[in-house]
Amino acid sequence: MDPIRYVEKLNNHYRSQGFQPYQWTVNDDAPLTPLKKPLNQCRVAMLTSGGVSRCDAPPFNPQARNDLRLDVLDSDSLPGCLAINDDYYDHSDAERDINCIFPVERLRELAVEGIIGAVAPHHYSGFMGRIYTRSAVINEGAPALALRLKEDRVDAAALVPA
Amino acid sequence: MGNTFGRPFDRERQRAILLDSLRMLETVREGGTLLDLPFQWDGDFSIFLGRSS
Repeated sequence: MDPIRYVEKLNNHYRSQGFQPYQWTVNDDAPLTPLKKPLNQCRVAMLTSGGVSRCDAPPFNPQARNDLRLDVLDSDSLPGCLAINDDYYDHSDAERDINCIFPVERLRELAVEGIIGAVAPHHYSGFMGRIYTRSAVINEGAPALALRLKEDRVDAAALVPA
Repeated sequence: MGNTFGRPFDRERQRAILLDSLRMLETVREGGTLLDLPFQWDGDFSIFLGRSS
């Protein structure tokens, strides 16, 4: 199957709705921070942007815009009972198996196998919906996540878009 | 979208995509590197542009 030209299709979609083309972020630089230790000694956390929340927490707003909410999820409790509220992707498969978008059980298995050192005590759900204020992500949302990761002494984090 | 790691209950594929991603931590030498994984979606696919709730 040929790749789907997602950016082009989204631009056409926005234009057909009467909007200006989306102003995609262009990063001229992407600094690399190499691992300080082998993967099998690393503590790994994961984040989903898929509007995933615990059933006993308030749901994400499926039509959210500029929502910087960040849920902290006890990794031992996952998957447990999770709700998905997001209108911007098809989550029918993820409703049946959350590992389609947020493979917390697969990560746990990699730890059991010794391929990663350990699963971090917390995973995260946030950056969902449509976020138009990129400066808020850079100045608020991302630093808040980074602080949590540092507190948990996480060596690597998988940030999974949904 | 919505199947970043493949199909429901396809543990092998989910594991492979996750592991290939994590292995990049050890293999990538330059920031901004994108890696095309060899996995193909084996069915019809339509782009999902959102719905109103």
